[in-house]
Amino acid sequence: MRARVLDTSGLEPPQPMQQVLVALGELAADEYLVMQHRREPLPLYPMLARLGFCHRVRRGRTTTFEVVIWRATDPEPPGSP
Amino acid sequence: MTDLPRPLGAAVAIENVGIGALGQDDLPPLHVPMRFFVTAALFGLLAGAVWLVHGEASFGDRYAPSMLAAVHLLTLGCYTMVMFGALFQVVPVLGGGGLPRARLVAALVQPTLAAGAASLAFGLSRGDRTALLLALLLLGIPFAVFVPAVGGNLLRRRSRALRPLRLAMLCFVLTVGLGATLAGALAWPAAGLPFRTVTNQHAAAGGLGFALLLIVGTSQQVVPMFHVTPTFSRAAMRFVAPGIAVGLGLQWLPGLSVVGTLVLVAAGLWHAGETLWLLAARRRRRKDPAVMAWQIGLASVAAALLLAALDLLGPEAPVQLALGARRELLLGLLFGFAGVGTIVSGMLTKIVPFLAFLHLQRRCLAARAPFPVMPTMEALLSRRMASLQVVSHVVAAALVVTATLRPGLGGLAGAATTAAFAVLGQNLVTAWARHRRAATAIDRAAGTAAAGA
Repeated sequence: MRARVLDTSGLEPPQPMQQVLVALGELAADEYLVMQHRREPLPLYPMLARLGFCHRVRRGRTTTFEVVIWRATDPEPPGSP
Repeated sequence: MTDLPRPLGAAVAIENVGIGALGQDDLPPLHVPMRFFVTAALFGLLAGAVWLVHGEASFGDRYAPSMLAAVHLLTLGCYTMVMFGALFQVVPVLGGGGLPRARLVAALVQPTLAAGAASLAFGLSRGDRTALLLALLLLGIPFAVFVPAVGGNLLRRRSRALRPLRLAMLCFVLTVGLGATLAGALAWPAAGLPFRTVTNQHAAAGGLGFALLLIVGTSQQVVPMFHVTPTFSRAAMRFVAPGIAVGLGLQWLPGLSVVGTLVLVAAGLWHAGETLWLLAARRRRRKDPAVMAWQIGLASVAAALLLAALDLLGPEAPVQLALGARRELLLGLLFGFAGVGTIVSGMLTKIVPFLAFLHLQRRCLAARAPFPVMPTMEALLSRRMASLQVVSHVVAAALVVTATLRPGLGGLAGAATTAAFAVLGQNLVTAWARHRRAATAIDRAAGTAAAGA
């Protein structure tokens, strides 16, 4: 599994959510997404579940939060990208 | 799932209880806040029309009937209307849950608040007892319905982010109580009521209490989120709102009014200064009408607070003598119209397209429509439209503030105010109509996608 990193930490709402939803649509079969953000994107989580994705939140290296997002049919990615 | 270590998780819980934490299922329908916002624009337009017609007579005296009418059309019909409408969204966000029976509460509150504000303005402008009595009865409904609904949500949660809103609601109840006392005294003149003192307390509780505390509570969440600034300092989050409330309370205690004014002015200037500093330190420094509104609005609030601090110099100070009786009207309109009004206008340029966008996104997901159908926020309210809204309000505010010193400009200030609120109303209706068109396009696209599947 390869990580695809998306840094949304400098974007105004609702651009982070827009960009994540676009990125998820373009995700290759062997990829998962790592969203970097300055705030925890809570509105995103119910959408992810509806769209068939799982997520995990962790402390970011360069931003406050990293949300790891993968297809529910895929195994959970390892701890770091 | 979350694997955050505990200390960070705890910090997150405090720091991120903001609009970023918006649970979309808690959002009331878009028409709930929008009907408040559009009604508010109409009341602003009416206030401008009153100034346009009465001009110099309005601005010549703080207690001129037409000025009293215009001020209440603005404060109650416009700003309270916007703040109530926004609270339907903000309280669920900060409180983490939706207001109970939001649609019913809105259906009761919006028309009675509008009718009550109109009746009060009419009663004040004509000295009409029946209209004043009707206003008291009508306004009793929104306050009896809305305050418990919002207050219940605010009291159930322990988030620090809610503290300014709790204090704001407390000040609101105080403002209404004092206002009802004044209206009652006008309808049935009673000896012994210190009219001037109670009027000043009513204005202070409404402006410095309700409005300023609401601005503090909202901006502490909204400014870092919408403008990508650093977050407010922990000290500001902790002390500014209580400082304003304590200062206001001390002002009314015999022998402590000087201390109260100092505390109040210091807390207000702290908030204005820190917000302006955060905006200057924002990561994306592109031109944004909402940022301009924050800057001009907060500078006006700061100037008004400094003007209020002139009280400390005593009535014989040269600047006090120079301003004379005009000081109170200048202070009120500098704070209320140039300060609060400009901030409200700027915030609406962000909140309205953002809420419309969130609702469309929810619709898109629910209907399983393709996301490319979604319009951008810019497509819902263009930057040009937003700029025109803020700039027209700033021009009106400059004229209104000048007219407090040169009442001959009152008519022109009224014309500018009418124009500014016409632009606001036009923008609100346009954004709402575009939202409806986009919703229809989403439904159509979802139908096409379903048929093709």
